[in-house]
Amino acid sequence: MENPALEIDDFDRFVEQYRPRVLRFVFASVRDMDLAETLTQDCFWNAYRHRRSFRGDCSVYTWLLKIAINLVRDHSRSRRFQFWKNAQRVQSDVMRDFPDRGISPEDKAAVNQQVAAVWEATRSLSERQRTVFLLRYVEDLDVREIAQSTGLTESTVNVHLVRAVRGIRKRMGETK
Amino acid sequence: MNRHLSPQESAESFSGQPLDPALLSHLRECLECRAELDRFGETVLAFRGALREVINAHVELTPAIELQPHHWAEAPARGRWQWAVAAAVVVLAGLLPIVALDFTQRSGGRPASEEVDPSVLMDSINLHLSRDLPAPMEPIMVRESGGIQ
Repeated sequence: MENPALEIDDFDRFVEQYRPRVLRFVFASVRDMDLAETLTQDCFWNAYRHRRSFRGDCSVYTWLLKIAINLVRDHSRSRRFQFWKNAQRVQSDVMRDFPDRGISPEDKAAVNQQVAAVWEATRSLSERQRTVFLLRYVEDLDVREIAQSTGLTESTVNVHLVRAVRGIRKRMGETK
Repeated sequence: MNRHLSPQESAESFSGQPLDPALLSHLRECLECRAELDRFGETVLAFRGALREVINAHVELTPAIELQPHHWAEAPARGRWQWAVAAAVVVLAGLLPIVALDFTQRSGGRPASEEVDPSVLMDSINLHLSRDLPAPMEPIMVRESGGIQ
């Protein structure tokens, strides 16, 4: 089996391949596109600096997400003393008006409403629950990969996953 | 089983947790519970699709020019000098009380043991005052021979 670390050597291609996925996770976590771009750039910068320490015991994407999760966590800790709430509210509009997929206006309105409801519901989750939910249902990672990325045990990941799903369904039921 | 799945059981089922056989059999037969879970699944899929489309559209518009590593290779190692400045500040903060104490001792009052002895002080005052007094009277006239004695 080819060493996954070799993927990082062609760094231009590496960035091109993984940037959308990292950006997607970071954006869904911090809910601010400019900040998500900055943290994604930091993520690749850290990956570049520490590329020699990557042993290939997990996929490159899992390793990148691990770096991204730490950056998001560091940011949210420092952010507690800042007032970014208004900026976050503005960014919610991005998810209410995502690109047209060629469906009827009625269907689009219904889908938009559902998407906005999940987007708002994920805000109410704890940071850990949100991370686990996004990794499982947006990034398609399995429980083992989520455990590797977050440093949690698989059973803890399962507990957070169930709580996240329950929390989102509850919140969506309240907003209906 | 004659009841629908609870929110906790629904969440466990959706998350792929192993279910009790009775719950599993209910889920197979109950259209309402299945429809509810399917609806939530579709909503999550729509959310995922929307997020992907938003990011793909953003990435197409903003190529990652600044993400090239050859730009980063020239970037200064800001972490190192920031640590050096922080260390210097700590050292200076530690030295400040010592320097301040030394300065106070030099410019301020002397310790009581170094105060001048009162008798020495009186002598010096006397000496000073005696400079201002006229010198002892000298003979006004030089005595000439045969003159006043």
